[in-house]
Amino acid sequence: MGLNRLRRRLAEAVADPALSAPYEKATATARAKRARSVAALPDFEQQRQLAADARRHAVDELPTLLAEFEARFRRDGGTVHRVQLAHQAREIVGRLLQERGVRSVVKGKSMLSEELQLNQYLIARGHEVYETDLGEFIVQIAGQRPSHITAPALHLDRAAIGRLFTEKLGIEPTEDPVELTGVARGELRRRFLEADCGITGANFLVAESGQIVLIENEANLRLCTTLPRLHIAVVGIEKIIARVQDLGPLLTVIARSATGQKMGSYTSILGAHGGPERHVILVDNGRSALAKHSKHREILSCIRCGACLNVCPVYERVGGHAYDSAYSGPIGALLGPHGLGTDTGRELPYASSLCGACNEVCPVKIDIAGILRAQRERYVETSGASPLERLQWWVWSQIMVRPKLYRWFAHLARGVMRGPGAGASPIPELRAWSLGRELPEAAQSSFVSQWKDGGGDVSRGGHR
Amino acid sequence: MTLLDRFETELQPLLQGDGRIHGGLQRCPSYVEAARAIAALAEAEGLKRLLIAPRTEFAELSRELEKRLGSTRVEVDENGRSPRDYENHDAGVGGADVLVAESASIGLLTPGEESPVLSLLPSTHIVVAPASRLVERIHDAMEILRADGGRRSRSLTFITGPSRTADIEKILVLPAHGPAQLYLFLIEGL
Repeated sequence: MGLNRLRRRLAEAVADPALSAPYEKATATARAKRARSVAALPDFEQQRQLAADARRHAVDELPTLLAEFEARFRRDGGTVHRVQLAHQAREIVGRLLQERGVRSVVKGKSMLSEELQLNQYLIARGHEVYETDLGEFIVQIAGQRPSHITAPALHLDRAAIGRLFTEKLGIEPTEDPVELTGVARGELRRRFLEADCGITGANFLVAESGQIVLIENEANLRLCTTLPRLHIAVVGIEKIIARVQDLGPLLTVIARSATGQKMGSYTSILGAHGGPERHVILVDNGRSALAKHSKHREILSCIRCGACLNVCPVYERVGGHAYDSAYSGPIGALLGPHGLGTDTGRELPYASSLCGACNEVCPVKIDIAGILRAQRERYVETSGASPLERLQWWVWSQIMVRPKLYRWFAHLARGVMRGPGAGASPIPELRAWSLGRELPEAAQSSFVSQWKDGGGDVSRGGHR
Repeated sequence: MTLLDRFETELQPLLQGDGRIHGGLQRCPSYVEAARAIAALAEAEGLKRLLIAPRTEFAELSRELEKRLGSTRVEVDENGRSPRDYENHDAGVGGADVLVAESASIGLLTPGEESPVLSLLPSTHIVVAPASRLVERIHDAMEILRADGGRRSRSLTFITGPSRTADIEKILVLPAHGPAQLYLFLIEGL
C-alpha cells in the first residue's frame, strides 16, 4: 500500500542526519529573509489579497483567458500549441526541434518540464540539452532530480558540488562557491552562444497582452529567450492571469515570498513580437479536471514560490527527494493526489503535520492544510482504512454523540493518564505515539465541572 | 525622501557580494557630465571597449564619450552584430524606459532603441537615463506597459541589480550568467 511506502521513505530520510542538515540551514535562511522582507512592506497583506484574488479569478475563467492569450500571442506573430497529455507536449517539442534542425538546446528551470520528463525524451532523440540555471546544471550533471522548487541543488553541499565538478568537468579541486559558479558560467556561456533553441517554463502568461512572464536571478532565462533563434515556453494552463495590472501585486509578493528579494534580478515580460521565433505549449495534463473541483481548484492558484517548503517542518526534516515527485513540500503533497508530478502521490497528503505554517506564508492564500486534510478524507474513502481503524472511529463517534457516555470515558481516561506508567501503553500504536512525545498531565476534574464550580470562570473553579 | 533617494537606497544592498561593491549610482546634471563620469569610470575600471545603444537621446552622450575616450574605444551598437561581438566589449551603455524606485529596477522596452543583448553579454552594464523616468512602484510601471499599447505587445524587462545566484549552500555569488557590474548615471532635472 502506498502509505507504507511513503512512511518508509520518510523514516529513511529522517534517519539520515547528513541529509537534513543542508535543508535545515537553507530553509532557516529563506524563512528569515522572507519574514524581514514582508515586515518591511506596509501593505503586504493588501497586496497578498490582490494577488490571491487575481489568481482565483484566473482559475475561474481558465478557458476564456487561455483563448484570449492565444489570440493575442498569435496576432503578435507567435505560435500557441494546446495539449492534453504529457506525451503530446513532448512530441510537439520534438517535432519543432526536428523541423528546424536544432542540435543543441539551452534550458531554463521549469518544474513542468520535470513533470513532463522532457529532457530524457529530447536526449533520447539525439539532442544536446543543457540545463542553465546553476542549481539545475549541478543536478543535471549529478544525474539527480531537483530537491526544491526554487533551489534545485539544495541537498548538495559545496564539497559535494566541488567533487562533482572535478569528476565531470575535470577542474582542479575547489569548494569555493565563487569559483564553482565561475566554472559553470564559462561552461554554459559557450552553450548559450551555440544553441539553436531555448526552452523555458513561465511564471505567468498574461491573457490581455499575450505575454510570457519569466522571473530569475542569474540571467540564464534572458539568454535562453534572447540568443537562440527559437524559443519554446512549456507552460501549465493554470499559469494564466487576466491583466497586465495583476502583475503589480503578483510581482510584489512572489520574490518576497521566495527569497525575500523585492524583485528577482531579472523579470522578463515577453511578447511574441520581435526577438526569436516564439512558441508557447499550453499543457493541461490533468489541470482542467482539477479546475472543475469546487474546493481543490484553489491548488491551481499556486505561483510556485516555494515559501511553503521553507516553513514546512516535514520538508525541512525529510528533504525534497523523499516525496518522490517533481513537486515536493506542501504544494507537492497537494498536487500528488491529482497525478501532477508523480504517479504514486496519492498518499502524499500524509507527509504533513497539518500545522498550517504553509497557510500563513502562502502569498496567494491557498488553504493548504485544509485541502491536505480533505485529501486525506478522500484517500480514506477511496482506499479504505483498515477494519481496526474503522472500528476505532466507529466507537469514538458513538461516544462523542452521547454526553453521559463521553463523560464516563473522559473520567476513565483522566484516571489512566494520571496513573502510573501512563507513557508506556500496552497498545503498540499508542507506544509509537509516546516514543517521541511527553503525555501531558491530565486535569483532576473535567472542564465542565470546573466551569460549574467556578460559576462560569474556570480559573476559580475546581483543581487543575 | 525623493524617488531618486529611494532608488539609490534600494540599489546599494543589491550591489554587494563577496565583500565587494559591484557597481554604483551617480547623479549628473546633464548628458555631458554623465559622459565625463563614464569616461572616468572607464579609466578607473580598465573598461577598454564600450558599446553604446543607438538611442536618439544618446547623441550628445556618444559624441562626448568619443571625444574623451577616442573612437576606437567607443562604438555605437548598430544592427547586425553577432553575440560574440557583444561579448568582446567590456561594457554596454544603455538607457532605461522606466525606473522603479521601490525595488531599484530598470525597465527596458523591446523592440526599441536598444538591443536586449547590450545589457546581457558585456560584463559591465552602464545605464544612463533621465531621473524623471522614475516611478514609485512596480504597479506604476505596469501602467506604462499598458499605455505602451501599440498594435503589438512589446517586451518589458526589469533589471534589478547585477546577475546573481545562491544555488550553492544559499551563499550569494555575483555574477551568475549576466553582467557582474551595474552602474547608473541618472540625469537630474531632465
